[in-house]
Amino acid sequence: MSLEINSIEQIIKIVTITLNGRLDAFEAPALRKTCDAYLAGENNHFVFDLTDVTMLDSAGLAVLVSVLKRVRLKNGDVRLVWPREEAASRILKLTKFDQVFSSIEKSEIIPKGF
Amino acid sequence: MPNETIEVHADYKNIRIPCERLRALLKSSDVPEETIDLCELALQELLTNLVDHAYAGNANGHITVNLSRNPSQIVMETRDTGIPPQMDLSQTSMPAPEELVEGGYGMAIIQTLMDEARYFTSQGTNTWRLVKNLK
Repeated sequence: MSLEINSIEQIIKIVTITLNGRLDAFEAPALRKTCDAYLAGENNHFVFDLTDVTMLDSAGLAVLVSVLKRVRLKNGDVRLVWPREEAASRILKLTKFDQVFSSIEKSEIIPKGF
Repeated sequence: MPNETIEVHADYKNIRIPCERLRALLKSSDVPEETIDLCELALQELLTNLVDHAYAGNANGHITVNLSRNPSQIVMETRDTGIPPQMDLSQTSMPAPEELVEGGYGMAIIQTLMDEARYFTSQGTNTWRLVKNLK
């Protein structure tokens, strides 16, 4: 019996946005503008690397929620790399968004070996 | 006892100044890092609310922030001459996360983090008072 080979090529484009510093009301508009540009280009999968975010307030969180809402409408999703600083992760726990956003490790952003 | 008054324009960039000063004030008086973080977040949320609602984005508005610490409390007071708040603080609640609401978290965050959060208006000036008790 000869070998049957079935293969599927999956191309999933993921936008990874790495943030460093304070994500607050002052900086949120710049992030929103960046995300809007990617969303206009039919990108539906986002990773926000918040490892080095030093402070996150509700204005910054609003941008992340906005992206999540919009990509889910197009069967996409958002993953967060959790902030190292408690000052940044606290609001995610307070608002219970730590139960809504899926988290990944920094090492998972790019698969090992690539 | 540490006490500082700062006046800033009501815009997102300048409201960072009192938050930075709060952090410096509390750090120099041996307040635990976690407590500093809670107070900074509450103050940031309050000041953002004042920019958005009291002054409705009018950067010509001014906010006076008084920061003080005594042995038992951290007190943050703000004064503005913008639109008076009209909220019933007893009715504030955190939106359910699954609803993916983008706004409306600020006051709920403040009330969760602070031991006291209240406001009053007198002769055209609105005062907010946030208090965090120290153990």
